[in-house]
Formats: sequence, C-alpha cells, structure tokens
Amino acid sequence: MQDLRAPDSLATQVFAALDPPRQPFDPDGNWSHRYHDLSTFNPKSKMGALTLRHQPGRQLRIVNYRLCPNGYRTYTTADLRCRQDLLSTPENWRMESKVSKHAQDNAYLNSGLVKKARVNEGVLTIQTGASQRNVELPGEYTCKWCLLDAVGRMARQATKAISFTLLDEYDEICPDQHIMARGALEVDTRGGTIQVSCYQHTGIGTMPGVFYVDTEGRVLVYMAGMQLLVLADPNGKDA
Amino acid sequence: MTRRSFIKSTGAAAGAAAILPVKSFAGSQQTDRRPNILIVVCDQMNLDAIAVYKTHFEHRSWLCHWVDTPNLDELVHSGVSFTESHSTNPVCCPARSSMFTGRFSLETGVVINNIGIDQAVPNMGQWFANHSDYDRVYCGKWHAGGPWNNPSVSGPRKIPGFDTLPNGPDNWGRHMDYGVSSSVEAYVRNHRGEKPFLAVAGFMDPHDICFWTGDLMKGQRRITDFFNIGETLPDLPPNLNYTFDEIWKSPVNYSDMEWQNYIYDYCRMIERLDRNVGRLLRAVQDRGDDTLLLFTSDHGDGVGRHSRVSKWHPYDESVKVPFVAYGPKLGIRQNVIDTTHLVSGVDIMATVCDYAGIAPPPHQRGLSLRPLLEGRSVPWREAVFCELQEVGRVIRSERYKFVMSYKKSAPDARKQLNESYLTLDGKASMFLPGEESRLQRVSGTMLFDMKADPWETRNLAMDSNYQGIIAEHEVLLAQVEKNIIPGREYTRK
Repeated sequence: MQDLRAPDSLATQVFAALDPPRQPFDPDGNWSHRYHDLSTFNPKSKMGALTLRHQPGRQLRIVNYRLCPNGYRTYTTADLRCRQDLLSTPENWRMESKVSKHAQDNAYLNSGLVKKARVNEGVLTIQTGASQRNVELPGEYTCKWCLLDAVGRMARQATKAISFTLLDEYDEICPDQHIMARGALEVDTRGGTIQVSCYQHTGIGTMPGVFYVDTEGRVLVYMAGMQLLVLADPNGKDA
Repeated sequence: MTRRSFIKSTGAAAGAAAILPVKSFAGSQQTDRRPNILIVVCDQMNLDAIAVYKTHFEHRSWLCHWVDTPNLDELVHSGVSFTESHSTNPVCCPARSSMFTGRFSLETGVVINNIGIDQAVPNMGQWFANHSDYDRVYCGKWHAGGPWNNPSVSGPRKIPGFDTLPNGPDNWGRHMDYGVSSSVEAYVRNHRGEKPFLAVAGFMDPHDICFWTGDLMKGQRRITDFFNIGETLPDLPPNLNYTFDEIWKSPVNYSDMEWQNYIYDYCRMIERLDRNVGRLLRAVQDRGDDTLLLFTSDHGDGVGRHSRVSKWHPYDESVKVPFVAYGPKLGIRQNVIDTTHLVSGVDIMATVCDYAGIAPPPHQRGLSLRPLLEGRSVPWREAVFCELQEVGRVIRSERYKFVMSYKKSAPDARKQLNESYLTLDGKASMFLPGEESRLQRVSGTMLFDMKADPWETRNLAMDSNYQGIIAEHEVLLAQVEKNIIPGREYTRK
C-alpha cells in the first residue's frame, strides 16, 4: 500500500490532483460514478473509462470501454440486479461485450457477445447463446466491478473485513478473496484536506490493491498493480 | 549422443531445410477435414506456472505450488502438454517471429525487439491466405512487425494475411487481455459458414510483471508497490543466490521480501491469464466440433531464479515455455504430459499447416507435432536450438544445455542490426552460415547437466570431464547453423 504521507508516492500525487465531490451521497439512490481508467505505470495516459450507474431497487449498470487502434473501442456493458448487502451481490445480470467505434454501433467482425447469468441456491448459471454452464458458487460472492459500489458500503458501515468469491469481470470464478480495512488517513487534494478510508483487496487472480473511500462512501481511487481508477465525474454520463 | 545419431535425427529436425516439411507433411494422416484452429499465445509465462504440474515439479519453489489455474489445468487434462518446450529466442519479437513463420529468428531478421519480419519470409496468415480458404483473424499482442504490439485493422500496422480484431491499449495485460478474451470468445462462438477459421489470441499477461522493474522514460513509474499484504508469500527459489561467473549478467538486488512479493504478484497475473484462457476453452468446447487449440508463451520470466527478472538469458526460467495442444475430436490424446520430446515454438507453423492439410512454407525449421499429439511413434530431434539476444546460442539436448555467444560488432546492436557479428579481422558482418569459425566468440561458455542440476547452479564448462560433451554440442550447433539463411529486418513503423 502506498504511503500517503510520502510526497513522491503515486497515491499522494493522484489525490493532490483530485477535486473530490463535496455533495452528500446516498448509495441507495440515483447516482453515477465515472472513473478514468489509467495505468499506474504511465498515469497521464488514459486507457478508457468505467461508469457505474445506480438506481433505487439495487439496479446497477456498469459500462466499461478501452481504447483500441483505428478509433475502435472494446465495450463491456452489464446490467445487474443486486442484493441489498455489503457486497452488492448480483442475483442476475446480463452483460454484452463487443468491439466497435461507438457504443451504439454494431459489433465489428463477429466480436459481439451476450451472456446472461443468475445465481440460485449457490449455483451460478451462465447462458451464452445456446450454451449453458452451471457452476457451484457457495458462500459470499460478487462481480469485479460491483466492488466499486460494495466497498463504499463497507466503509459507511465501518466493516473491518470480508471474504468472498469474485467473478472476474462477470463470468470467471476467482475464490479466496479478502477485503480488509487498513485504517483512515487525511490526504491533501485540490479541494482541501479530506479523510479517506483504505480497504485492501487480495485474492486469487487479484493484484494486491487498495480502494480509497471518502466519508460519504464513495470510492475515489482504486489502485492495484498497473490499474488506476480515479473518480472523474460523479453524477456524470455513461461512457 | 554421437554425431551420427544427431545427424540421423536432425535430417528431419533442426538442420534440414526443404526436406523436413515435405517429409513431415507426407507422414501425417491427411483427411479432407480442415479443423478450425485457435492459437493462444501469452507473454512471459513460465512452464511450471500451471497448478496441475505439481506432480512433475515437486520442489515447493516451482510456481505450480503457488497458483490457482483451473482452466489451464483442464486444458492439460484434456490434451497433450510438453514439459520440454522451448522458446526459439527468449525475447518477445524474435520468439513470435519464429512461431508465426516456422523459421529461426536469425532467418526472420527479428533478432531483437521492436523490429519486423523479413518481407521474404511469409507469416502464417499470408501462407494460409495463399494456400487455403481459411478465415484468418488476429487479436491482441503481435509484436513482430515493429515497435508496437497490437495490430491495426488497416495501414502499416496491419499484419499481412490476417484480419484484425482491434484491441488495446498497447502494452498492458491488465487493460487489454479481457478485451482479447471476450472478442476472441465471441469470434469463436459466432463463426459460421463453410470456411474454417484460423484465429490467434495474443494475451499480454503475465508480461505486466516487466513494469515492476526496468528502465523508465519520462512520465513512467515503476509499479513496485510491495507491502505487508498479510497473505502467505511464495517460497524463494533455491538458485536465488547463484555464484558462478557468466556473461549474461543482469541480476536484480531485491530483498527476500521483495522477491517474494514479486513472485506473488506474478502468480496473480498467471491466475488472471487463466481466467481469460477459460473463456476461450469454453467457447471451443461449446462449438462441439474439431477445433484445434494450441496454448503457449513466447518466453518465461526470471521470477528470482539466478536473481533474475524478465527474460533475455539462457536459463530455463527464461527459455522454457508452456505448450498444450487440445483437440479431442481431432484424435489428440487427453491427459498426456509428454516429458521426453524436445519441442520448440518453431514447431507451431508446421503443426498448424499439417492439421490444415497444406504444405508448410519452405525452409521450415520446425516439426509437425501432430504425430506426438496423436501418439504415433516417429523419429524426433535429439536437440533443440535457441538463440539468445542477437548473437548467443543454446543447444539443449536430452540431458545437457550448452550455451555460447559470438561477439557483437557494436555494444548497441540495434545500430548494426544486419551486421551484428564481429569477424576475426575485426569487421562487422552478418552471420556466416558454415563459416562460423571466421566469427569472434566471447568467453563464458556454459554447460549444465539438466537432469542432475535442474536449477542450473553448476556450470560444468570448465570441468575437464565434460569437454567431450561440449565438443558434441558444438557439432550439434554447427549442424544447425550451416543451414541458416540469414534474414533482414523489415520494420513497419
């Protein structure tokens, strides 16, 4: 975990450039968080964007795109119905991936795919076209990017630690995941000094990383290995 | 091994030029079936980084004891894998140029990174375009065209012979590999029609580990962010603190804790890769047809062995790569871990041509693996040849690994790319097949007994008891080198 008191640490510099949102935040309300998808190796180089849009009733839409040559992008869009719990546990979801130049364009060269998933009594069923796969999914679980919602909820409830199974993106199982609180710190930002809670995430297929959460329960920054997500546009538009 | 036995075996192996592919092709069971072909190439994966290999690599320092790879395990269980699988040149571009041409990197002209394949050497896409009706598509890392990784759909960065499923951004597995797996999964699931497909998925992982060390340019930062994560960290390798002299020095001075963190992070990248491979494996399985799936890597990573990160050097952690072939409906055996046959990335071209029912391009240096995959007995090579950086050589026989190097014509070989060698009279030269004695060598020959010393901790090159072995391997090297047709770089900016 990077030292937020060291002036040359990347985390310190990311926060120094951040203008954090000041308005109250209701995690169960209507909200959207748009993150810049950056690389810790070259933090000024934008890789893409990731947007979470939440609606009451625990509906979550997650849109992710990454930049490709010739103006193309890889898009992944997931619509999830989640439980009201700490992990924002998805009960059923539909995800669509494709390569195209714009979100509304048809998929380029056979690259479009739709998967539908549901979890019932500890069994994950994924439907891809005519194929169906059933996988045991015992215990707590969530999808990778649901964590950007879930960790904020953990911070609001001062949760110390939680263990679960992660679905990499939306369909591949990574067991033995652990998120634990690593304390709260005051950090300097463009908008002044704020307090953030630090939540460390480790597990199978997971680069050790940290979610930095504000006192309202918004994940401001996520840093893990090469990946750096920075909240750029609270209540902004979809990617 | 005697010279006679090597020549007998290499008549159909490393040395023979035009004879080999015809012989190999004619020896296979030809049918009218043209299976779909999916080649999955990852970047910088060690051979021992598949969990199911625990039974073969028992020492706790092997990576198989520290990774969770259910999909790669399933692939190994469902196909044929090789534990004596080698990169042709343990650097990204050279290795990939060999995989997709069937020629040594000396011949493709791609002897270092960030340059492109000689225009006179056809790549797999071009060859299939001209000799088959396959649909050909490439997605992800290519890095055999110039100083860039991911191909464009058009323009100079398009791979000749392949359509492109664009992916990006360049360089980072964390950011692009899910795009590769989801796009290629979709392609495999959606492809219909009379024509079969030849698809390539080029993953970046676990190459991201390269950004934990190495040189930086302006604006770049090392990723190294080691901290007390509270997880069990991997054992250190027994050869972390090697002691013998060698010329390939580039050790890294990490503390034990830093090495353990480095290896821990590397293992997580392997697991991430495994999930991406899983999507492709299931897409192939769901097709229910006779699609051939090949999985391999361009080279390995140091992971602390010999105090190394990255590749570039002659040790097994750099040179050995996983290789798995899957195709139960093609007659490829299941749950076979081949621990005896020496195979190489240069074999891929001959293998896919064999399955596609077409003759491979001329001057193939590889062998079709099809007989081995189907369990047929065939004469096989007794030694495998690897290049090292621009001018180094490795000959790996069943028991020994022999390493030597010629002298570079300039410290920065990139400026002398087509004349990397230094002759005895001090002139820069291209490689001189059959006239290697005119080239200067550097001291620092190495010989390892790979059976008695699998961690490569004792260099036997100066031991008088092994001079005969060295002489035999010099002969093997000369047999390969005399048939080399040197290539020249053709870089697409």
